[in-house]
Amino acid sequence: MTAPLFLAIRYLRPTRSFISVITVISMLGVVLGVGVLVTVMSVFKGWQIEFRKMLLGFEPHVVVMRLHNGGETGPESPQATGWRELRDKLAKDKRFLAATPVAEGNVVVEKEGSLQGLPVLGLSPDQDNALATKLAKHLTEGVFDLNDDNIILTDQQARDIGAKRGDTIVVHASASVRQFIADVREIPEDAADEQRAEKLDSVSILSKDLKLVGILRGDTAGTRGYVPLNIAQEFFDLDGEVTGIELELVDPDAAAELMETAYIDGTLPPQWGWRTWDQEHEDMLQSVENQRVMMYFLLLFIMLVAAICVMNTTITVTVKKRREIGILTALGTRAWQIITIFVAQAGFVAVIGVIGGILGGFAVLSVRNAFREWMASAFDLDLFPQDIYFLSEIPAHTDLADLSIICSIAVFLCLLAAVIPSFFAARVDPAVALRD
Amino acid sequence: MSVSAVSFLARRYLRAKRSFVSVITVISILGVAVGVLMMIVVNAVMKGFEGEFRQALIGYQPHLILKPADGKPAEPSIVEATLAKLRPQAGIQSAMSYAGGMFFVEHEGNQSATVLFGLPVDSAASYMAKVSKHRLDGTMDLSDGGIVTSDYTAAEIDARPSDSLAVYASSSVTSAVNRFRVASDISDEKKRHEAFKLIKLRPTEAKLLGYTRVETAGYFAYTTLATAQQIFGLGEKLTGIMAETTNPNDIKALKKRLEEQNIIPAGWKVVLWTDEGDGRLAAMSNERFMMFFIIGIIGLVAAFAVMNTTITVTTQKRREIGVLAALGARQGQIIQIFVSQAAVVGVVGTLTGLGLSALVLRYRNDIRGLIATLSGGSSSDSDLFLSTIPAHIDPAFIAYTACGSVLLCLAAAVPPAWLASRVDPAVALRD
Repeated sequence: MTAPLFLAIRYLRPTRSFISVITVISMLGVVLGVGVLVTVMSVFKGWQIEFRKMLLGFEPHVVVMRLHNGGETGPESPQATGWRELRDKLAKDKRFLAATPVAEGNVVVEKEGSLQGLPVLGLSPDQDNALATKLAKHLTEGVFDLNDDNIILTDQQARDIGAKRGDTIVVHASASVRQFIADVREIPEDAADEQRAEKLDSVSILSKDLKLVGILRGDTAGTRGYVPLNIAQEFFDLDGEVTGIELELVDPDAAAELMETAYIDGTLPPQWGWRTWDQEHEDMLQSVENQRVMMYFLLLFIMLVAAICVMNTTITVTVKKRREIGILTALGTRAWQIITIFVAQAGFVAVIGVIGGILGGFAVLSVRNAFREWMASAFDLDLFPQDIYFLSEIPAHTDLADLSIICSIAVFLCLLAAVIPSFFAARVDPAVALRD
Repeated sequence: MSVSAVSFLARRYLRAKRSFVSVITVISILGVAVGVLMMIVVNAVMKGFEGEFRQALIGYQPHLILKPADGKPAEPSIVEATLAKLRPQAGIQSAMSYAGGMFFVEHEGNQSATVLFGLPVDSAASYMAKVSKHRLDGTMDLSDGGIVTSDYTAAEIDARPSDSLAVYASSSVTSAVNRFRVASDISDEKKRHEAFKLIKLRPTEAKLLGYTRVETAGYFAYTTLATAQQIFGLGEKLTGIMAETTNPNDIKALKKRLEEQNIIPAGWKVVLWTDEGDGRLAAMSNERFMMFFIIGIIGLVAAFAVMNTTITVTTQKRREIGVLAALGARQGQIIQIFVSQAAVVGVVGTLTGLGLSALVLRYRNDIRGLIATLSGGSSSDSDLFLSTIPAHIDPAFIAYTACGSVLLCLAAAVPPAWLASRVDPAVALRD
C-alpha cells in the first residue's frame, strides 16, 4: 500500500479522538444527498417512461397526411399518389409494422339538450388493424368492434353525454348541422308554413344511429372516440379519401428520424407530410422533461451542502494533523502526496456515502407504494393523485446513466471540497509546524 | 458565571485568532444560507405558479353558481328567496340571478357556439367590471339586445362591435335537428310537411357590443337578463344564481356552510370556480409539499455541518471546559456557550439566506435569461416556459423557514455540547 493511502486510512480511525464522529456525520450528509437524488430521479424517470408508454398505448405512432397546397380547396396535383397505393407501399416496408387508413374529425352529439362536438377517429374494421389491437387493451367493457354501425368512446366521453354500453347514440356530421342551420335560416321569417315545409324538403342532415359497443379507459386511452372508417369518411365529406395513414413503428422513439429518412429515400411521396406521436404531445412531454431537469438542479444543492460538510471535516483533520504534516514534509514528502492523503480520506467518505445513499435510495424505492398508502391513511394526503398522473402506483425506473451521473457528481464534489483545505495544509512550512 | 459571561465566551470562541474554527464556522453558515435560500426561492416560485393558475381559473369563472341539478329553468320565487338568504352570508360579496346556457351565434353565414350569461341590469355593472379587465374592443356596458363575446367567438363569426348577429339557444337548434330527423323520415308528403311546419329556429337579433381576450376571459359571452330570457325562451323564469365571494380561495368552506344552513334549495347543485381545475390545484399543492420535504433535507445536511463545527469546537476547547467546570460553571452554562455559538451560525446563515433569496427572486427573470444564454442556443426553449417566472412571497412561510432553520441549528449543537459539558475537569486538565 502506498504511503498516502496508508495514512488516509489511519487518520480515519483515530484512537480516543473525535475525528471519526465528524467523518461519520459528513458521510451521513453524502448518504442523504445521494439517497434523495436516487429516489427522486428514479421516480421521475419512471414517470417519464410510463407517460411515454401511456401515449404510445393509444396514439398512432405516425400519421402520414396529404399536404394541401393552397388550403383545402386547392387543386390536387394530377399525379398525386392515392392513399391506397401509398398504404400498400408503406405496409410492405419492413420499417413499419402496420399501415392503416384513418379519418380524423369532430362529430356532433346531443348533451343535456344541446349539441356538442366529439373528436373521433375513423378506423377500418380489418382484423389486422394494429391501432385497434392496441386500443382494445384499454377496454373497460364491451368489445372493440367497428364492423357495424358502432361507436367506441372513452369512459369520460360516455359519462359526459350520459351514455352507457349498448345505448344507441345519434351522431350528426358537424358540417351538415351547420348547413342545416344556415338552410333553415335562409327561409324567410315571414314565409308561409306551406312554403317553409316545401323548402325543408330539400334540406338534409347527415346523421346516424351508432351503437356504443365499447368503452375505453380514458386515463390511458386518450380523449378520442372511434367510429368505422366508412362512416367517418361520409361524415367528414371525404368522398372516399382519408385524412391520413396511420403507421405503427418498430422503434417509436426514433419516429422523427425514421420519417425523415423515409422522406429522403422517396418512400414517402412529396405530396405527403407526417406527424409523429411525440410531436402530437410535445408540450406535455417537454413539460415532464423540464420538471425532471429542474429537480436535478434543485437536488444537486443537497450534494453541495454535503460537500460543505466534507470540507469542514477535512479542515479539522488537516489542522489536527498539522504537526504530522510538518514531520512528513521535513522527511521529504512532496506537497501532492500530502494533498493525496486528505483527498483520499474524503474519497472514502464519498464512496461510502455514495454506496450508503444508493442502498438507502433503493430501500426507499422498494417501500414507496406502502409509504404512499400510509401517508394517505395517516394524513389524508394523496401524494400521487391518479387523475393527474394517470397511474395507480408510484412508478420508478433507475437509469444506469442517471445513477452514474449522480455518483460521479457526489464523488467529484467531495474530492473538490477536500482539495482546497488540503492544498493549504500541504503548503505548511515544516519548521513552523513543528515549532508550534 | 453570569449570562454575559456565557455570551462573551461564545463570541470569543467564534473569532478565535490564528485558528481554523472561524473558517469552519463560516462554511457552516454557508450551508445554512444555501438551505434557506433554496427553501424560500422554490416555495415562492411554486406558490407563484399555483397563484397564476388560480388567477387564470378565477379570472373568468363566476365564483359560485347555484342552479337546479336537472338543468330545468328555475322559478323566480325560489331564486328570490334563495338570494335573500344568500346575500347576508359572510363571504358573499355579491349575488344575482342569471339566465344562460349554450347558444349559437351567426353572422354572415359564419357560426359559432359558446356559453352565454344573461345578467340583471342592476347588478351587471359590478360583475362586468371584472370582465372589463380583459376587454379588447368595444364596450362592456351591457344593454338589452347587446352581447359581449370573446375575441375567439368574434373571429369565428367574423364580427366587429356594433355588427348585428343572429342568436339562438342551443336547445332550440337541438330540437329543430331532432324534429327534422323524425319528420324527414315520414314518407307521406302531407304529414311530412305538417311536421316540417314546427321546425323553426326563432333567432333573436343581437348587437355585438365588444369582445374580450379569450386567453384570460374564457369563452363566455354576456348579455342582459331580459335578452337571455328571450333567447332561451324562458319567459319570466331563470337559470340560477351566480355569486362572487370575498375570499375565493376559501370557496369549499363556504359551500359547506351554505349546505349546512340549508340555503341551497332542494334539487339544486352548486358549481364552484375550482371544479374545473380541482385535480390540478390539489396536485400543485401536493408537489409543493413534496418539494418542501425534499428541500428540508438540504436544511438537515446543513445542520450536520453545524454539528460538525460544534464537535470540533468543543473538542478544541476541552481544556477550557475543564477549567470552567473546575471553577464551578454549571453544566447548563457550558452547554449554553456552544449552543449560542450555533445560534449565531443559524441566525447569520438564515439572514444571509434571506438576503440571497430576496436577490434571486428580484432578479429571477434575468437569471433565467442568463442561464438560457449560457446553455447556448436553448433560448428558443424559453417560450415553452412561461414568459416570466411568477413568484409569490408568503411572509408566514418565510417566518416559519427562518425559525425552523435556527431551531435546527440549535438542535444540532445540543448533543455535542451536552457531551462536552459532562467532562470531568480533572481528566480534561490532565490531558
